[in-house]
Amino acid sequence: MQRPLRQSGITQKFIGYLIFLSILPVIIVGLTSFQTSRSLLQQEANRYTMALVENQRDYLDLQLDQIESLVANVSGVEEIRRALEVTEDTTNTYIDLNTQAQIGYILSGYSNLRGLVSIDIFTVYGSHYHVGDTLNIDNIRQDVHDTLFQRALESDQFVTWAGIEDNVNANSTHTKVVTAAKILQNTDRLTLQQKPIALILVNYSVEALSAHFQQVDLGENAYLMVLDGENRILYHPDLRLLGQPVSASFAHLFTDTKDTLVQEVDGQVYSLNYVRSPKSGWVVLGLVPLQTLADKTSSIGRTTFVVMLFCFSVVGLVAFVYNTNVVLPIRTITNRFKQLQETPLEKQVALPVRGNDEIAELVQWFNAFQSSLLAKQEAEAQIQASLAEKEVLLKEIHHRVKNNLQIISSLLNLQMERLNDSYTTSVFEDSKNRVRSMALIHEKLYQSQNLARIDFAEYVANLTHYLARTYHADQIRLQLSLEQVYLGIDTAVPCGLILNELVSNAFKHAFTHQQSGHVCIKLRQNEAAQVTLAVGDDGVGLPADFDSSHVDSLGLQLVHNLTKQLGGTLTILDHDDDFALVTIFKLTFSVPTEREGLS
Amino acid sequence: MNKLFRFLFALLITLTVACGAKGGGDTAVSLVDQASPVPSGTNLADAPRIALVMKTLTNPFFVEMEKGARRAEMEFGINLIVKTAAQETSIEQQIEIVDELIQEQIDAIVIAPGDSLELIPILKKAQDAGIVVVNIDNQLNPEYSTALGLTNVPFISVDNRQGAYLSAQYVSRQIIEPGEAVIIEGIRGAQNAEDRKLGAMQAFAENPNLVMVASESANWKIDEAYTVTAAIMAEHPNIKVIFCANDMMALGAIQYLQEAGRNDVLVAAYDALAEAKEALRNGTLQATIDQQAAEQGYLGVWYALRALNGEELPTQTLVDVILVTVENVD
Repeated sequence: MQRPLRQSGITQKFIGYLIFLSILPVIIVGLTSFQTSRSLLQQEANRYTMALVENQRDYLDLQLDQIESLVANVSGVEEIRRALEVTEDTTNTYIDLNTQAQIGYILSGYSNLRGLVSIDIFTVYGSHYHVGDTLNIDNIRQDVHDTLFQRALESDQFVTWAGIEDNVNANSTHTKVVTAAKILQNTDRLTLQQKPIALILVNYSVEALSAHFQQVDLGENAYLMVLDGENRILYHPDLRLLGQPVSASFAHLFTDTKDTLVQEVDGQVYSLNYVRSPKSGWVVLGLVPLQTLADKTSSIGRTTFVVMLFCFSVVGLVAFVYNTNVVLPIRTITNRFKQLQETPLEKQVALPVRGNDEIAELVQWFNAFQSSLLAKQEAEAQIQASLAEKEVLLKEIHHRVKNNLQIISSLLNLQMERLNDSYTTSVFEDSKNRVRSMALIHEKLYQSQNLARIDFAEYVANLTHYLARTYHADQIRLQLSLEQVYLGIDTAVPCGLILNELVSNAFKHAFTHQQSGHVCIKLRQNEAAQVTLAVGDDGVGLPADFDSSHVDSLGLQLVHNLTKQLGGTLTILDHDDDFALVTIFKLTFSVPTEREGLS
Repeated sequence: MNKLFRFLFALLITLTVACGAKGGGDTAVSLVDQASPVPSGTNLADAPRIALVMKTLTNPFFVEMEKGARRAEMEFGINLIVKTAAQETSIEQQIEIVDELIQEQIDAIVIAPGDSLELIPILKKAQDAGIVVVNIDNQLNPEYSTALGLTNVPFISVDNRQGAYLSAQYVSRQIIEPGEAVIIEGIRGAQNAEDRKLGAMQAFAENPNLVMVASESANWKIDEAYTVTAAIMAEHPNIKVIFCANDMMALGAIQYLQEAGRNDVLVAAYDALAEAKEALRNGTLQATIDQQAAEQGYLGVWYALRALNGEELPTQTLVDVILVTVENVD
């Protein structure tokens, strides 16, 4: 069944309502819970990570504290200080070895700190004392030494934390270490100024730090990172990155002492929690990929989606059921109405009734309506058929009547031919014509479409021409001014008879003294249904003593009687405005309200 | 109907996409500028961890030994951990070091023990824990080892007695007049100290001109040797020859002799340290023995690796000694 698409059907509206009332809230709830849970999870993860990161910062600070106290201890030992003041020229092999041994003994006592790689003391006079992971200290990175010396000199802190640096001992297997530096100074008694006498370097193991941090669990795919004061990587799960400086844009992110950020790094979006140690200037940061968190909440999203699909399918199902049980029957009924309108007499089958709700009732009563409509249509058809039959019958009757009248007319005619005297003949002629005029009416009736009335103008024309032929009035001109007037049989018959009398009278009597002349017939009908039939001639005129009320001519008596029968009036005039008529018989009567008849 | 469903479907898709896509914050950032990974200093994670435990960090002899061990480390791709006690006499400390290594679940210990007896119990404990033990430089007492069940410990060293004999003989031969000889010993509990003393005594005994008047221990240390020499010289002014069981003690003795102006005393030593060679050049020392410390270190690590791989090793491996004098010092 085709329906134009621009119509919004009940089903569509129904679906629309359902969606707004039920599915939309579900979607809204689902979405909000999804977003809320996601942000909550993120918040919690951030809190946890921040706490963890702060713990690690505290751990680092603790380690640094231990090293600082180590440095403090070492720099406070008397023998070491004295040994450091020994200049180049006051040494020999014995003293050298002896001093090395002595300092070695002392430093050895401090070297138990877990994660310590080495303790080195470089005097400004070129001596080097060392305890550490290797005894072989003949290969020193002088550039590293010099840089550290300079930085420690310029720093105002007790211990300078250089961060992750190359090991000053090139022979050590720990190529990268975390270095703390301190300059030991003495006051020169001569210049009264501070002068440096030695550089103490404590190297802490990067591997020990890494081993510690690698055990810190931040969750799936999340990791820890530590940057030193120069934005070099102190710790990263990818150990190959240790010691490398981070990119400037990355370093730029950490401007505060403590913060949480969301940032895309190397193609993945992380939640960054960082904290900076005020002591060392190092930054500890935790990176948690948002995708991990998102994955956890994705189950909510999935569930919502599934529920939504389910709701949609339920809506679809309900709409389908509603469509079948409510909308389709309505549509069927509508179409059926249309069909009944367009092809009225076509037999239609009753619609099926389902269930017993309002729709079922509607269908039931529609069926009843349809069958009664069809019954009425059948009855009407029958009536129409019967009517047609009767029309035919009526036509036949008029035809028969006309024929019978014609027979009468012929009989009169036959009788007329056996007569000798003209008076009787003319009497028979008059009778014949009268009968003729009535037969003409019936003829006109059965010829016309409307069996109840005739076109009187046409009748007038036919009758007058027939009369003209009958009275051999070739010299007399007929002037007909006829409006279209329809008269019923009850009016037409007397009218026809009247006309017959008046015209016959004119032909017979008006032109006795002249050969030619005119006979004028006027037929009019005004808005008030008043008909005027006037017969006039320009013949000899009426005798002076003509009194229409006392006339012994049968014809004129007939006219009077018929006029009375019509309820009309007959007026006799001796002049006319339009034509040069001398005698005018004017008949006026009212036409009764027309019955439509069986047209 | 169709149009409606199409609209709904589109709405659905839009919502799903909106949920899924999360704005990645602001501009992306990369962690490091160039991805050139610097190889870290840490060695291979799976490599065997072998500890070299030496007596002290203050004797250059052990620097050489470490160098040899490092050479083996490079060559065999193992993880070498070097531990030393503070002084030659820090036996307790050495025992503690071994204990710590056992805790750290080291794979093998190559040890130059400060004492031939004291270290055996802890080494037995190490062996029981599945750690391979290799003995270098100073031999662990065999009887005590067997008694405690410490077996299968390969020993690498030199013939200390022979070496000491050669070194002492070199100076002893130079004495043509009657004179006194002194031996300055290493730690009395150490087998190598004992062996060197015997070797020196044997060399002195060959020269009828020499009489050994003193044999004192300076515990391998430079400063102690100084003091001991002072004490002996005070008692025996007619000393002609001093044999020191190692170079450090010899340097201590030489320092005293220089200060006392006794350039006539001939000193023989053992170890061939750079400082000793210097002394050879300037005539303060007469002879020393190169016991190829680096080689010992290298062999120690190598044997440990072989033992870890399940190989049977010789109980004793002797490295050659080389007598170093002013003639062949360079």
